[in-house]
Amino acid sequence: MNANEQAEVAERDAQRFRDVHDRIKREVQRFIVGQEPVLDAALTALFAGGHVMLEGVPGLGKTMLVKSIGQAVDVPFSRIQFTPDMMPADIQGTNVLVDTDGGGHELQFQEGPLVSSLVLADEINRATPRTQSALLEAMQERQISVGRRTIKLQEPYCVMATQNPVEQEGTYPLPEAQLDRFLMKIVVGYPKIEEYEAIVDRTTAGQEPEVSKVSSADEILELRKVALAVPVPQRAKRYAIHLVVGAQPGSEFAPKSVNEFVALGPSPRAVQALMLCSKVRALTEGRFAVSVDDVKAVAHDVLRHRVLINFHGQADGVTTDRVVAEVLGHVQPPAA
Amino acid sequence: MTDDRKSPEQLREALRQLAEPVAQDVQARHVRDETAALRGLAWPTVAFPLGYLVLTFLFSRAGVDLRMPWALLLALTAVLPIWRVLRRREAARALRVREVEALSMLDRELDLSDRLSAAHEFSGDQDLDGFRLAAMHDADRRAREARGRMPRPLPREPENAAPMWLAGVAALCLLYLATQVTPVDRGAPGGARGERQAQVAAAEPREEPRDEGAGPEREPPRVEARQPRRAQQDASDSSAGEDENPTEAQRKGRNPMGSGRSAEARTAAGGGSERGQPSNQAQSTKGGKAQKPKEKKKDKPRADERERADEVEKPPQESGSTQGRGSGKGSSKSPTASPWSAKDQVVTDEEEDPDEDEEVDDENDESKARGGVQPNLRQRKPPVNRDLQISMGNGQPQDDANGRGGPGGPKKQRGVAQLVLGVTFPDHVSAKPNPGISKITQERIEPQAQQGDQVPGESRGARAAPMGHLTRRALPPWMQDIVRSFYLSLREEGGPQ
Repeated sequence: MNANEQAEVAERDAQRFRDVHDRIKREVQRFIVGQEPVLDAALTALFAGGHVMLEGVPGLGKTMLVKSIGQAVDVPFSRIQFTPDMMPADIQGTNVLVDTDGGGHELQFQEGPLVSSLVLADEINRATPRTQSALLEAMQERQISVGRRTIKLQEPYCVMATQNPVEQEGTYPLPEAQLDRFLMKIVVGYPKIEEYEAIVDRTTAGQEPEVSKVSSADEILELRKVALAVPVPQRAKRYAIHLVVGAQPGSEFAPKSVNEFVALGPSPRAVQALMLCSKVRALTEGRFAVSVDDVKAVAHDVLRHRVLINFHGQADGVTTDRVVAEVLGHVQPPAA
Repeated sequence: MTDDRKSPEQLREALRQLAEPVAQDVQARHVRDETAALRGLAWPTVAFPLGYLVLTFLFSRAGVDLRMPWALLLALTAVLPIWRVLRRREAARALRVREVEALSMLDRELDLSDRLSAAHEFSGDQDLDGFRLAAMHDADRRAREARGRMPRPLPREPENAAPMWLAGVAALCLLYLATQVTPVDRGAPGGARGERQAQVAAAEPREEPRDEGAGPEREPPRVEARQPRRAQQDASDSSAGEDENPTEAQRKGRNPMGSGRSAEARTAAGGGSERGQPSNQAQSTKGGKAQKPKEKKKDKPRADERERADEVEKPPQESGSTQGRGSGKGSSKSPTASPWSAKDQVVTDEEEDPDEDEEVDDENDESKARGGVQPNLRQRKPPVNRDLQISMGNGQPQDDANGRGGPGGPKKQRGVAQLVLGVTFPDHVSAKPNPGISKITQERIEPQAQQGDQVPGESRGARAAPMGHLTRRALPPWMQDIVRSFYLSLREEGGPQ
């Protein structure tokens, strides 16, 4: 294959990526009104092979969004409604005594809802740390261990968790180790005022639109490889690194607010996440290489849950979004 | 589609061709900036002549001649523009627009999201994969599409050196004007002044040639004030009948005590005329001190000459050493008598006078003449306010803060005040303070013994279960022997088994 043919293949792959992405997006938007940035971010995480945390007050359609994506992509979908009394075995699976044909009994492993492709972990912060930690292995290693049994989870595997930032009584905030495993944390806001009419029309008319399957698991896996092949120029790479380092207190690129209010900055995993998300965005924007603009566009969603505000910052009402915004304003893209 | 595609080499060449005019354009902009900078040399060219003119004019009012030779003036005028030209030239040499920088600028201009700069980077790679090639093709395609929107190279503006010529002409004019400014003669008319200068020269035979060479620019009254006191008296005698020039009138205005008096009376006013009025003698002599010339220091080494002059005129005076200081006839011989206390009341204006150190030297001489070192009470000030009262930490210095540990100010946190809890320190918690007032009351209570409930003793019952593993105590051998012999003896006697 000569150079021009290689270029043609790459262009075809990129075009296919855009088509599938747009198809899924259009299908989900038949059901979800507005929330386009949220939908874009969720699809970015799906194509980048990461997990998503959706945070927003009740009633904004977080669960519906994830359900719609699960329906639009033909992958096994499961939903876990986390409660404080939920145990790890409830989500991973456990051995159950079942009747055998000969009239006997035997212990048989019954998989939990975690064994799926697209997992909706609803109100994840209501689960106890023990149950939350059961998710760690599944999210990072793409496998679960129950007793002596280790089950490989099938790809694509994506956990989309939701949490409510308001009702904090009886909740267990996720530890940093688990938060770091989410590729993106998406803040779901209220819809625009002109979107309310469409929401009312679509949800109270008695005929809810059905989301049809427009993609498959294999296609998603192929497109993930396409996204990974997108090259990153040095300038964008250095900028992503400077952003992550700039969010670490005491670093060379850190602005004053980071040194003052940040207790813990993002880890190198944040750079990986920035690069993956930037690659997906570059493809959806019709480019074949990552640009600084891509890094900037995904920085908020990638970094906001990896920055830990210290006590002083919390007392002053400093948010991670403000810190990330100041880092973005402080760190300039390196010269070409 | 494949036929339309360029090879990687062609793409590299296309990128280079794209970057070249942009780089040239950037260079052209830089050249334009340099031209503008050369035009900007007009001000530095005029700056020195203008400043020189102003200074010459101002100093001429004070009787100082600042005129310099033309060659020096021209050289000084040229220093600033030459320095700026050299700096600009260095900056221009440092500027090199690389291809990638030009493409990056083009990316920004055409809103191409780093397509061109990324393609330029990929073009240098040896192993080009499909996406890199696609990125290069994409950049080439976008650049061709955006060709109509390319920023046009700047037209070269014709260099207009008119401002520089104008600046040069203006500088020459200013320099010429500055050389035409002559210092204002603030003294008396020439004949009288020259005459008095001669008298001054006669009264001050050791006047240095430099002072004489100062010529008419030297202010005569100042020279007069610089003379030793006796010489000043002589000069006053000789000039008593002269017409009063403005300086004399000015002096009279400042020193009303001496107005309308004869030369002797004026001499007395400068010397011991204020006997019996020690309290205000300092004020009265202050006017004379205000006229004190700068050359007075040169007169001080001539103490022997002054002493000789004192010896000549000693008979009419009680104490020559206190002459001019108000201690004299009628005053006590004691150095701490009223004249010194009167000096203590002198306000600080004199002490702030920069020439006062010379006066202090005179004082020292006079102290020695009185037979010993006297306390220089003239420098006595009110004691430093070391009030360390706690101001409840509003951080604002109080009115009476003196920076030496008094109330308020940053030095408050030093010394004893640092140990007091009321002193404010910068809070390490940069959060909002907790609203409300918390009051802590401490009570000192003597501890009292309390009677606890007696726990009745209880005999331990027999062990009903094995105790489990107990670690054996390590006893020394001699004790083990004692224990062993004790249990053996018990067994022999039929004790517990």
